[in-house]
Amino acid sequence: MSAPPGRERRQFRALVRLFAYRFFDTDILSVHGDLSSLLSQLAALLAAFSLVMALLTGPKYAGLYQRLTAEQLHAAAWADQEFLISTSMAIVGVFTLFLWDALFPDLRDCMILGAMPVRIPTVFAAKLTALAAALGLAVVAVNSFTGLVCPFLIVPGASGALDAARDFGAFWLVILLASVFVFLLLLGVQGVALHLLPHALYMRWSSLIQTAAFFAVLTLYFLTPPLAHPHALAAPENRLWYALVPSYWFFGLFQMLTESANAALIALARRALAGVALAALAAAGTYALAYARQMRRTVEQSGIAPGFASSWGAITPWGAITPWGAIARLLARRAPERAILVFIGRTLARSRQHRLLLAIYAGMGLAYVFSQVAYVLYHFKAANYGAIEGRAQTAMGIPLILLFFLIIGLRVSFSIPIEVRANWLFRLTDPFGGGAYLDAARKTLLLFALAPVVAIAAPIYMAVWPWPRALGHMAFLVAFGLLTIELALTGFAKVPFTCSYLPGKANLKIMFGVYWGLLIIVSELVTGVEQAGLRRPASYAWLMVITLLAWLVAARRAHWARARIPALSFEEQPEPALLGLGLAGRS
Amino acid sequence: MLEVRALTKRYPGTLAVDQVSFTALPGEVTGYLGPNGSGKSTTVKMITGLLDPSAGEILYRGRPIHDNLVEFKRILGYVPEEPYLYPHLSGAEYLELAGELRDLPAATLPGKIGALLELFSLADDRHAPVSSYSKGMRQKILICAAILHDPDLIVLDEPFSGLDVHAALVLRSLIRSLAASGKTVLFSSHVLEVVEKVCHRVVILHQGRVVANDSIERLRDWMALPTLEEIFAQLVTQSDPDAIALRIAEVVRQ
Repeated sequence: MSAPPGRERRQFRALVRLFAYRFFDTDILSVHGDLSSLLSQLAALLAAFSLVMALLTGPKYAGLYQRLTAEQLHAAAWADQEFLISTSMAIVGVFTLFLWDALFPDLRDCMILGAMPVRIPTVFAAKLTALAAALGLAVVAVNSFTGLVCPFLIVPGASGALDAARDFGAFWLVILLASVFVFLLLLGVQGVALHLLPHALYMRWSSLIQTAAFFAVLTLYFLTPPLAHPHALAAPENRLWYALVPSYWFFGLFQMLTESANAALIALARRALAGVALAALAAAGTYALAYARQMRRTVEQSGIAPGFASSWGAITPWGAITPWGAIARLLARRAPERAILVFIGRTLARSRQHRLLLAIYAGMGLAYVFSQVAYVLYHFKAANYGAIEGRAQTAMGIPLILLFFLIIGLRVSFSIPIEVRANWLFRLTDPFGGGAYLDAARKTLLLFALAPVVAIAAPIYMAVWPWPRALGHMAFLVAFGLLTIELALTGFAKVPFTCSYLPGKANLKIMFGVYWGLLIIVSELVTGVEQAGLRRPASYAWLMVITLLAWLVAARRAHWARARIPALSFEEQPEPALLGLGLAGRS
Repeated sequence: MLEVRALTKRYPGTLAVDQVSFTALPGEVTGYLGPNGSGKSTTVKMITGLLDPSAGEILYRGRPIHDNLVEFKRILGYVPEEPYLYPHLSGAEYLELAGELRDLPAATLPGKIGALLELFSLADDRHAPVSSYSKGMRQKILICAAILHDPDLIVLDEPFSGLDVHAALVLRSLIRSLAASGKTVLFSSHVLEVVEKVCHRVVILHQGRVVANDSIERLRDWMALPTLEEIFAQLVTQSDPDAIALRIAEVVRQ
């Protein structure tokens, strides 16, 4: 017997509202937290990105920067069409992967909703609707300006209101289909993993699949060669790229909808439609089927005692001596510092949320590196001196940028709690004395950011560069890393992962600008100065002296700042509306 | 009447519940007892439809619950062992969600929620997020959500967890009055004093199997023991608690 439609509609509406909020983990929020401010800031960021893209794209068609020939405008239009489509696809991909854990019900959902008189198809439909709404909003935000301006500019030869309406409709239809394709494809990936892997194995590998997919999306977006060009389309050596890269399929679809008669483009358009159909089939056949089963398996798994495989930071039957425990013993002599170090290592090893956050920051670094590498690869001819210089500078900047983003990523992840209610242990034991918390945080950054980057980069540079240049670069990398770590820990007064998170406290727009500015400084200024320094030993010596001095000053400042901090913070507080100058009581 | 017949749940390598059978009658409170890991919560999850049994049957009013699980859940009230609640909702919002999912009349729902929150001394915190609630406050919200729709069958898994003395007294009385009004109450707990005062009959589980199933008076007579605690200890405790306590104290002193 099925439920009355009115009841199901009511349940559906209640569940859509619930799931829309459940995409964000609110367990970690400070009691003063305001999730809506965080969401509006994210939406504003995406819209701002769209505005910048519209401002970069639009003027060239009006001849504001330079007069382009008809052929150049045609090529620019194709490149812009593909760029806008692939950017939307990449953002939907990243957004879907960000919501990876929310695609299926978690234990809380299963325990609460499982005991309610709600049919699983209703839960499933509500979840899918909430997901579609969230992704739809992201797609609209990221195309909010480009979607209003570009359709009327990027189609060569369009004239009249009818053409404008057709191009506008085609643009949004293609963006929608491309976004749906990426979304369904990733749903299918998760569904396939759920069907193929035993539940326990899936739970362990899920975050690895998520991280791998995240890097795959970034790699595909940044390292795909720019082939949306009439000459490139005709070249036989590019056929494989067109066949394999989905953004070209949807570029072909846009071309077809805006009346291109090119057979190669029509073939790409067909591939796009087939891709959407196949992704829909795969998602329906795996995600939908896995949904009900996953609800049961999640509850069943909760009844089985969890265990960790004996690995990095794992619990072993013979006690506390694990590889990570042994490293912590080597690094920290004081018991409180060692305890915090072990806690940090185990949290990073076992918390999906923190690993994903690190992957996002590493991905941001990689994205910038990839974009630079792609620029050098695809925009300079091999014989060009600028290309050789550009490649050298890019190669030099790669570890610096990755190190910078790893340090920032780790520092940000320290601010996201693992289980706020469990922080009473640290509150009671007070690891503030002697700065154990700060030493442990510093050593974590050294071990998880500086050490791996140096360990990977050193043999590569030693193999491809003359060893004095490679050693010089490595020495600078270490000095730069030490300085960045000290700067990242300035004013840090928390045991990592124990303080509640207050969304909206850090202004995302300002932080984004700061990171972007620092990124440009690191990638351009620092590598430029270092490159010049490596050619002249005296300049290099000065560079090293200044960097090391800056590090010593930053370390000293951190020591003094620690003395002024009254107590460790476990509950993030909002900034006061009025700031006192602290003059009262001074004579 | 709730009837459990030869209920079995197997996990890979573990037999969590083994051929469990019992009956819970309307108008009675049936205690469901057992030490940690004995299979109590697994049984409760199967009765509430959260888990599928590996074998056996659960019948309510003579019909297998799996014939129409959604309809069965409409007349079921459940307080889970763990306080699963959505932390971003306030207490009132959570109850509103539960009421909407149970399709309670929209006109009367806010009044009913308000009255329940008032009676459970949660009115002042009704708009605060659940994440800021104490354990006892969360438990009260779970109890409100379980009885909001006036269910016929009430399954309580450790419902006294975290409650203060006053709230515990209220709940104890509430359980009795719910049973007195003809509802079937299954009450799983470790607190034997409360079970002894509230329950008409008890089912004791040990290592997934039923080791006793009778009224408390008959068990007392049959085992010639004065309290439920001693009966329980006799049936399921395999080691001397005093000896273990002494050893723990020794380890702490080392």
